[in-house]
Amino acid sequence: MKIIVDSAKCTGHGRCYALAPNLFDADDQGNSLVTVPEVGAGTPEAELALRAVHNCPEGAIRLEES
Amino acid sequence: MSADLSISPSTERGCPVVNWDVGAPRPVFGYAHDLAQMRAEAPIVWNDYANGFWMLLTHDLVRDAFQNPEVFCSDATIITAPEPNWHWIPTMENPPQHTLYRHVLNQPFSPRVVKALEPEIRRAAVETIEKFKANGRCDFVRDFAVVYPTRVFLQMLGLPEQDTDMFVGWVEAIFAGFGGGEEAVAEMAVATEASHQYFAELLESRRREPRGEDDFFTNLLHAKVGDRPISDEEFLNIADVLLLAGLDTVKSQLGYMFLHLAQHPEYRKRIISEPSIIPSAVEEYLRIFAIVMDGRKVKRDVDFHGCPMKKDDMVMLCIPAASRDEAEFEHPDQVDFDRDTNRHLAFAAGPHRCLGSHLARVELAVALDEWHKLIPDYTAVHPEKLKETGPQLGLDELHLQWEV
Repeated sequence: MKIIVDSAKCTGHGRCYALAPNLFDADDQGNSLVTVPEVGAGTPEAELALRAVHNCPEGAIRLEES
Repeated sequence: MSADLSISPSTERGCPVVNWDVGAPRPVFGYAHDLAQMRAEAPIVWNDYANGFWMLLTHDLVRDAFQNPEVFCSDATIITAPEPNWHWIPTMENPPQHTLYRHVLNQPFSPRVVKALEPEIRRAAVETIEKFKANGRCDFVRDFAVVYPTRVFLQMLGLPEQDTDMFVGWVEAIFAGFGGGEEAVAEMAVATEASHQYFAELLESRRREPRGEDDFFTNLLHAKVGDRPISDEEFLNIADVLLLAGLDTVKSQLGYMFLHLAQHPEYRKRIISEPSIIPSAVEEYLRIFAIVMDGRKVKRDVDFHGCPMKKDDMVMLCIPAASRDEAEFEHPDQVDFDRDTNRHLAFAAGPHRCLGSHLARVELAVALDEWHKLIPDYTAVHPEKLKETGPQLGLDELHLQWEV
């Protein structure tokens, strides 16, 4: 699965890198950076990525089939 | 609980109409009760109160409005003041100018910077609690919720700790002035002038003697708005806004959190026995006790979900209503620390996402942690008598007691 952050929608709530620090990081403005752009379907990483999707107030994160 | 609201249909507005006072003291949770009643009728209502304005009540519409500043602009953000004679930076800016200011301010309020301050934030919490712990009681609002964020604010901005009482006095006077009587308004003017003077002197002092690269106001003084230097007027404006936006909000959030905890020992026990739940508890409290009902001004005529909104109409983005929208949240009226989907809008959305959100989260988490290490068991005194006021929801007092 590909993890995609829409940088036009991200305003730096920071939920993704708080919940999944091994997949996301913050830039110096606090906006989201994807550090692991691809995760295996059904893995714990994919589950964490999904949590980030479900907790982004902007709806800026999505997962796509690789 | 509040009596039922009178809600009447309107074909002209395309939505129901209410006349609902946005600031009146109500029994605690009376605002949530009324908002739920309105949301059950329709996602948008027209409120005839004051100058009249639209109220957005569902999660999807509130978010939609926050994310569309081209339609819902920030030229006016106080719902009852559509033509303000003041201008707050960056609160009342719109993109693209707004983006330039946020570029200056985001970094010093970023999670990384806030994280580094955490030991100082803990110290501020512990020292504030230690002052009244032996008394076995306190007015939580006055003795803790006002003082603690003020101390953190001064620390973060590199201002002297001994100015805490002075700042607390200003903040109390300024917020008592919003919607207060003649005397309160006069005291508010005095406090506004005094804090403004304080920042003007600070500006001169940092100009004469700049501090190190971590100093907030030295950096602000040397900041660039796009490709030009920041003006003195902008510097002072931003300082005033930080004071207004940063202190009363955390105070109000803490009040609701600790009222809930005082009445629910099982939640307190969980915070003590399982401190790793604290970040999730903070998010849940931000959701269920969201306090901000933000204002926006309509930039051009628009049909918004069946409502004919006209240029210059005011719109209230009711975050506390969005926060309990059952279309977005399961069991929305229940405090659930294990909620794993929580897209709450307590810090707004879109370009005006609360600048202080990362600081607020740490302040709230530290308060939960340190308070319960020092005072694990406590009760609220006469909670049935508590009142809340709006339009930024908050408790005026919360008396707690514990065994010593």
